[in-house]
Amino acid sequence: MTAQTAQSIPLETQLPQASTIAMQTFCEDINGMLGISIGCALCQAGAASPDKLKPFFQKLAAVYSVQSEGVLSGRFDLIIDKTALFLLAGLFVLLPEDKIKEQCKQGTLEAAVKLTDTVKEIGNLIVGAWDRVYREHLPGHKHLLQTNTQITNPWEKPAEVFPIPADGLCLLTVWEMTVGDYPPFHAAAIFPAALFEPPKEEPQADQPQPTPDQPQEQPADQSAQPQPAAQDTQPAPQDTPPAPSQTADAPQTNTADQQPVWNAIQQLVHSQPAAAPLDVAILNCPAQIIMNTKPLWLSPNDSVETALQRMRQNAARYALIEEKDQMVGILSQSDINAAISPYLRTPFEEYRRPLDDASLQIRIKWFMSRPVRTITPDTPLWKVMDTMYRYQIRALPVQDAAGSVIGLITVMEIFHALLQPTAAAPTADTQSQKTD
Amino acid sequence: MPKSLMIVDDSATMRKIIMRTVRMSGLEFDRTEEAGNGVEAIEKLKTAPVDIVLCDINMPEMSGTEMVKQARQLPNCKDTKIIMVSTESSQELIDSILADGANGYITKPFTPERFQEKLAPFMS
Repeated sequence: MTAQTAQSIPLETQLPQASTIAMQTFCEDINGMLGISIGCALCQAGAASPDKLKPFFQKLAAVYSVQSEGVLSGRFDLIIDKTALFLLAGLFVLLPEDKIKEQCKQGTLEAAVKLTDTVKEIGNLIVGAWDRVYREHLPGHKHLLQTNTQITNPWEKPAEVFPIPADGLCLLTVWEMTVGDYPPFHAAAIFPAALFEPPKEEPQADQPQPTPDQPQEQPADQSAQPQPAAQDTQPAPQDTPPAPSQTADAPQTNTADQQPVWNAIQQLVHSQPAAAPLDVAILNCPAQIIMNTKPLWLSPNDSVETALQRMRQNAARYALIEEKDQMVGILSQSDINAAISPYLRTPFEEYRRPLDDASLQIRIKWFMSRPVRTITPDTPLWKVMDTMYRYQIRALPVQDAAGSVIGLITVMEIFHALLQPTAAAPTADTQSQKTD
Repeated sequence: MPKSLMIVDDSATMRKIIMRTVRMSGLEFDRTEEAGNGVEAIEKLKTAPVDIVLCDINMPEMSGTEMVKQARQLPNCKDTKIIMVSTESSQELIDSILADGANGYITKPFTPERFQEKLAPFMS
């Protein structure tokens, strides 16, 4: 990737891609050094809170604190799960296969702590690989340094483990990794939202300089969003690099390239009716009039390849996931982009290898967003927009009193409704013809 | 000609991996030593100098860079070849360490071939 290309891509978008290359480089390093072949595939990336990692990292994990200098200035964390901890450490010190498998299954915190030296060295190699790759793929990157290693249950006292609250906002990237016939394991990176804040103005000479390891006091989800009061006079510029775009309790995963949309919605919701160039009556239009009544449905066992094909055929950017007549998840085009190997997409496609096609076979149940927040058919448009803004999501299924999903509203349906010439509500007939 | 080697790394695991990889490279040493940090290495070098030191950079007590500087002050270590072994790959840092008196630099991950390439010139 050239520097010019990279600079035109928001950092939050580059980071999961560059980090995936970095993690794959670590795997190649281990292969070169120890002759151990490790597979690595991105299985999830997006804005969420660290507690969304609970399904992947239960009870015991190794957490590496990394201090970054340069375009990313501050601390982020890398985490490997219990299986990774015992498996990689066992392979490093040449433990027999059956012993490694036993530890992966039954290893305790006490046993893991005895491996601290090895686990720390694994982190050193991971950070070294990441540093090399970031230097190549992230313009402006200077240096990564592993500053701490914790072997712990990260959910017992998350505030002591992570640089942000467990329900705070960050960019999460999760990989599934495999070694031979050992059980698969997970690794993840946790980038706090504060890392993506634009550089602050140079302080006055007599003002103390903030140090890189001082966490930001301001909650990440507030700092990442322009405040409503300021928006009447200073709307966010459209070319501002977006920040991770999901509040702490949002159940759905969104990618970071959505910020301008949130800004627009926020402005619309919070602007004075008299100042809005719209007929405000449209804001009371119920969801059932605006919704798309024929959303795309997929099965949780469908592959990424199938999902891509069906979404393309239906010109849909969202799909609802159904199992046994129940909606169990929602999938966005952005979720898919984050799940597939970055080598399948620009700007990395020139490096595409046969192995990268394997990511097309990932089942969507592994990365779909769930649980799904819904609205009722009579929810007014303003409430729909407010819900989307509040929870930083761009699609809301419409569920009737019996619990059946009867439609889907995305930001595109909303724009369509708002942009009607008379600002009158579109008819159900026109809505049923289109998909998002 | 018999040669001696010291591996300086705060990680016992990494010292073993380096030792294993050096052996795989086909290089043979009649004496090998280990040290967990720069202070320990300097103390050992004072009494029993070696021909080649493989040294990590980021270590507690005394870093590898400081160890190089102090080793160069020891009269019996003037001819000792010191090769840094680290995940740190910044060219700026490598240049600085070489300027301080190190004789070479190997970036982790390393391979037997890499050790062979870097150490063989000092074995004759």
